[in-house]
Amino acid sequence: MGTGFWLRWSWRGLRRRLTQVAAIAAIIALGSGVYAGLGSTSAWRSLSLDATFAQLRAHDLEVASPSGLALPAGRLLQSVQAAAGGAVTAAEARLIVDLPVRAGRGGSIPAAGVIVGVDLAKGVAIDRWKVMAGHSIGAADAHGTDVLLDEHFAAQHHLPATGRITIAGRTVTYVGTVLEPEYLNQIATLGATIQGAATRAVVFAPITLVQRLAGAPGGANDVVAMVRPGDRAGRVAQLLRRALPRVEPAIALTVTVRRDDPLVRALYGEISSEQRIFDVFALLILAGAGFAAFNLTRRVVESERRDIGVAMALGVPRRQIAIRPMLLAAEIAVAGVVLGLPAGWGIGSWVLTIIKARIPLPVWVTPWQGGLFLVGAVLGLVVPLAGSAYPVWRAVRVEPTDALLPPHLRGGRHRLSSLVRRLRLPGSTTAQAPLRRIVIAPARSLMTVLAIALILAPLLTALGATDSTSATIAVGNDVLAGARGDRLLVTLTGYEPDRSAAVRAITGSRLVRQAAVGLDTGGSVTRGSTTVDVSISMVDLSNPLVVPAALARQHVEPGGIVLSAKAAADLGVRPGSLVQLRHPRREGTGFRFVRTVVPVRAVVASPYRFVAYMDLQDEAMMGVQHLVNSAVLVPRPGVSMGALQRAISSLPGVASALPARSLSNTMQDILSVVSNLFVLLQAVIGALAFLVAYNSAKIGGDERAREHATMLAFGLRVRRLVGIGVVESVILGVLGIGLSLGLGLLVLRWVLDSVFPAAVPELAVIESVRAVSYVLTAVVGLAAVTLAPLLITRRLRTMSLPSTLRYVE
Amino acid sequence: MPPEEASGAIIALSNVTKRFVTPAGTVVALDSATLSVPAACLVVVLGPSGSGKTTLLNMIGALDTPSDGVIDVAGKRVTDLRGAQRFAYRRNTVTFVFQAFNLFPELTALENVHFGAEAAGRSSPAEVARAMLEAVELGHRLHHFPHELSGGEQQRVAIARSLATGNPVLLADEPTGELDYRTGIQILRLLRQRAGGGKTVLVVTHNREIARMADLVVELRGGRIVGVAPPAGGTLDPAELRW
Ligand SMILES: Nc1ncnc2c1ncn2[C@@H]1O[C@H](COP(=O)(O)OP(=O)(O)O)[C@@H](O)[C@H]1O
Ligand SMILES: [Mg+2]
Repeated sequence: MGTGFWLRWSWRGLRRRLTQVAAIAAIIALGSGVYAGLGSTSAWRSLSLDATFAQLRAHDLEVASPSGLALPAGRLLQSVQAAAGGAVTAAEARLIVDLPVRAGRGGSIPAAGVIVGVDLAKGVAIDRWKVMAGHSIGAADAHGTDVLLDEHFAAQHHLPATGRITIAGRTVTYVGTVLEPEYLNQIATLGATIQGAATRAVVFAPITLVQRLAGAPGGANDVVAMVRPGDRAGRVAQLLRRALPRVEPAIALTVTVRRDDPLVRALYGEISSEQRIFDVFALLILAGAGFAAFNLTRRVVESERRDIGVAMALGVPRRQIAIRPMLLAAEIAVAGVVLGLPAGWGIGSWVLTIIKARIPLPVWVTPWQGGLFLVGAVLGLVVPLAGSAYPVWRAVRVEPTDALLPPHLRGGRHRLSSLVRRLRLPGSTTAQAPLRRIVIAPARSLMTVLAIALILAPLLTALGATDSTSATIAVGNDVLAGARGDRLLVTLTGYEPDRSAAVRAITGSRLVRQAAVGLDTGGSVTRGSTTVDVSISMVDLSNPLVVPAALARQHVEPGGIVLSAKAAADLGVRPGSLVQLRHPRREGTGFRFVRTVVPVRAVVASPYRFVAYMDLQDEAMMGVQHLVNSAVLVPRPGVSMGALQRAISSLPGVASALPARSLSNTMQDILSVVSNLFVLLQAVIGALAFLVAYNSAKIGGDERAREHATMLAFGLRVRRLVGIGVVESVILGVLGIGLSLGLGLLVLRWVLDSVFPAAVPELAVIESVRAVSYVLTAVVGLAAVTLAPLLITRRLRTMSLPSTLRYVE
Repeated sequence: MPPEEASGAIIALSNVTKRFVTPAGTVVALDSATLSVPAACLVVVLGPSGSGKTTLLNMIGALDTPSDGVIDVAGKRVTDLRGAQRFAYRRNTVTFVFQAFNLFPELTALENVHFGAEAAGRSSPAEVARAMLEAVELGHRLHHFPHELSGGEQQRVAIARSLATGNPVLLADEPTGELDYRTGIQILRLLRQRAGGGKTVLVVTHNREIARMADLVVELRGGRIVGVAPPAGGTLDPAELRW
C-alpha cells in the first residue's frame, strides 16, 4: 500500500477529529506561543534600547561635578577637550540642577525636578531628544523660557502636550514632551528613598534659563562627549580621570562611561531579570501544555487500538501499522506549529502594547524573532510526536487479540474493578456513574488530574508572585514612608550647615510641627566577596520620625551601620558583625570614596536591600561636620500636606519636597509590567485549562458514544448524560485544582527563593498569597471543567442512535 | 383513532417509509410498510440482511423517525412525539435488546439491570433487578462485570435489563446474532416466556428457523413487507428449533 493510501486514510481520520486536533494543536500553540511571544519582547526591548542610544546619539562619556558646583561653560569644555588630547570628537556643556517642580492645573502636582540646561544656540547633537507630543525647542529659543518636559512624568499625570509648570516658583511654558536617552530609567534614588516617574520631572531648558534659576550665570557642571571612532570610551575615561585633576584642580569631577553607567546597566538588567521571570512561566506553561497534549494524543491513539488490532490480524508489519497514528500526531504537531506562529505573534504584540505603555522608548525596533519561533516550533513538533510515539509503540506491541478487544469490554479489567465491585455507593446507577468512570480507569483519571494541575499551577504561582511583591512593597513602604501619618520629605540642592539660614527656614517654618534633618549618601557594604550597594540615611537613630519605630526603640549606639534584613541576609551578617563600608569622604572641594570597617548595629525589617541608616553623629566619618542635605517635616495640625509642600518647595536651597506617600507607588510602578503580563498569563491559562477540559470531555464522549446511545435508547435525557459528564469533569477538576494549589505554592516558593533573588536582588520578596488568588485559580479551573462538558451537549443531541448502537463489535 | 387500535393492536404502522439520503444516493430502507401487531404476542420480523428490519425496529422504538407514514404504539402516536416525549416514550413504553448487548462495561450485571429499572422510574429498583437476573438464571453472577461473562450470559443480562423496565413492548434486534445455537435457544425461550407473560416482543432476525416460534411472522424483502402471517405449521417451542 502506497503512501497515498495512508495519507488518504489519515486525512479522513483528521477530518473526523478536526475539532479535537485543532483543540490539542491550540494547546501546543498557546504553550509555544507564550514562549516565543514573551521571549520576543525581551529581545525587542534590548534592540530598541540599542537603537535608541544609536539614533539619538547617546554620549560615550560624561564628565560631571557631583557637588553640583558650576564652572564657566566654555572653560569646562576646553578643560575636557584638553585633558582628552584629541580623543574626544564632540562635547557639549550643560548645567544640571535639582529644583522643585510643580505641574498640573494650579500647580497641583509636585515633583522633584531635574533641570537640564542645554546650549540651544550651538545646537544639541549629543543626547538628542525625541519629541513625543507638542514641538521641540531650538536655536531661536536659546534665550527664551520655553522648555520641554519628560514624557514619563507627563504620561504618568496625563499632562497635555503643552502647558505651564513652575520651576522653583518661576512659571515657564513647556512646548512639548520628550524622551531623552539619559533619562529612560523610570526610577531614581531620591535621598534615601526611591522615586518613580510620577514624582520626578526632568525638564530640558535653555542653559541661560537654568543659569538664571541656579544663580550661576555662564556656568556649566556637566559635559557629555563622543569619543573618536575606533577609540575605546574606557581608555579615554582613564585618560580624563588622570588629566582632569591637573587641568581643573579646584573642582572634583567624575568621569562616567555610558556603557558602565549603573543606570544604563539597570535598563538592560531590568529586561533580563524580567525575562528570567517570564522564562520560568513560559516554560511552566509549555510544560503543562506539553503534558496535556501528550495525554490527549495518547488517548486518541488509544482509541485507534482496534484498527491496529485488525491490521495486526491481517499481518501488516508493525512499522506500517504505526504510520497512521503517527501521521495523526504529526498532523497535530503541524497544526500546533501553524497555530503557534500567530499565537506567538499575537501574544508578543499584546505584551509589546503593555510594555510600550509602561516603558516608553523613543525608538522601537521589533524584528521578527525567528530563532525563538524556531525553538517554539521545534518544541511544538517534538511534544506531540514524542507523546504519541510511546502509546503507538505500546499499541503495536500488544497481542492482536488484546488489541481487538472491543473498547466497551476493555473497561473494568483493571485491578481496581474488584474494588469497584465491593464499592457500595449511595444513589442510583447514573448518580454513581461519574465516580465509577473515574475509579475504573485510574491511570487515565490521574493523567487528567495531573494535566489540569500542571496547567493551573502557574496561575497560582503568578498570582502569588504578584501578591508577594505587593505585600513586600507595602512592608517596604511602611519602613520608608512611616506607617504613622504622612510626612514631607525634603531634599536640598546641596550640603548645608545644619544651622544655616536655608535649613532654619525649612525646619523653622510656621507650618511645621516637627522636623528632623539628615545627611543622605550612597555607599556600599562588603563582607567577604559579597558587596551590597546601600543608600545611607544619616539621621538621629532614636527619632521615630526618621527611622522605623522598631529601630527607634532599640537605642542604637552611634559608630556603626544599620542594615536591612535583606542586605544582612545577603552579606551573612547580624548585629555585631564587622563589615567594610565604602563611603564618600570630603577632600578639598569634592568627595573621594574610602573604606572603613564598621560594626553592624542593628537590622531593620525592610525588604529593600538598599535601606541603611547611620547616626548623624557619625558624619565625621565622611569628613564633614554639621552638614545636612535632607529634612523630614510634619505639618502643624490644621495645615495640609499640600500647603506645607507648596511653602517649602518655594524656599531657596530646596531640590524637592514630596509627601512620603507619593513615593510609595514607585515600586508598584516598577512591577506593573510584570503584573500586567500576569493578566495575560491568566487569560492564556484559563484558555488552556478550558481546552484541556474540553478535549478530555470530547475524547470521553467518543469513548463512551455507545454507552451514551444505550442510555438514550433507555430514555435517559441528554441533560442527565451531560450532568454525568459535568460531575465527572468537576470531580477530576477539583482534584486537579487541589493539586494545582499545592504545586503552585511549591513553584512559587521556588520562584521566590531562587528566581527572584537573582532577578531582583534589591528586593527580599515575602511569600504572601491572598485568599482571592486561591479562589481565582479555583474559579478559572472550575469554570473550565464545568463548561467544557457542556460543549458536547450538541453532539449528544445530534448523535445518530441507530448507527451508534448498530455496530457489532 | 386508527382502526388498528380499535381492533386491539398494540403496534400499528401505516404507510411507513424511510429514505436515507446520502451523497452516494438515496436508499429506501423501508417502503410504505403497513402493519398491525396484537398485544402480548411474539412477532418475528424476518428478512435477509439489508431488507430494512433494523430500520423498522428503530422507528418503532423512536430511535429513528420515518420519512413518511404514521406509527402508533400502545395508544401513542410515536410519529407525533417530540423531544422530551420521545425520551419518556423510550423510558416507559418500549425497551431494547441489542445484537451487540451494549451492556455498561463499568457496571456489574446487577447494576446494569438496576439501571433499566431506574431508567423507567420503577419503585424499589434493587429488588426488581435481583428478581429479573434470577428470572434469566443469573442469580449467581450478580456482581460480575460484563467482560467476565460469556456472550449468552451478557445477552441474558441485557434481556433482564430491558425486562426490569417493566415496559410493555420489547424490541430485540438479532438478539441471537452473536450467539451459538444452544445459547441462542436459551435467549429465545426467555423471550417466548415474556410474550406469554403479557409483553409484546418484537424479534428481528434473518434466521428463518427462528420465525417458527413466532405467533406472527412479518417478512421483509428490499424494504417492503411481503407477508404477515402465523408460521406455517404452527408456533413451535424454542426447544424444537434446529439450525
Ligand atoms: N444511515 C444510513 N444511511 C444510508 N443507508 C442506510 C442507513 N441505515 C441503513 N441503511 C440502508 O438501509 C437498508 C436497510 O438497512 P437495515 O435496516 O439496517 O437492514 P437489516 O437490519 O435488515 O439488515 C440497507 O440497504 C442499508 O444499507
Ligand atoms: Mg439489522
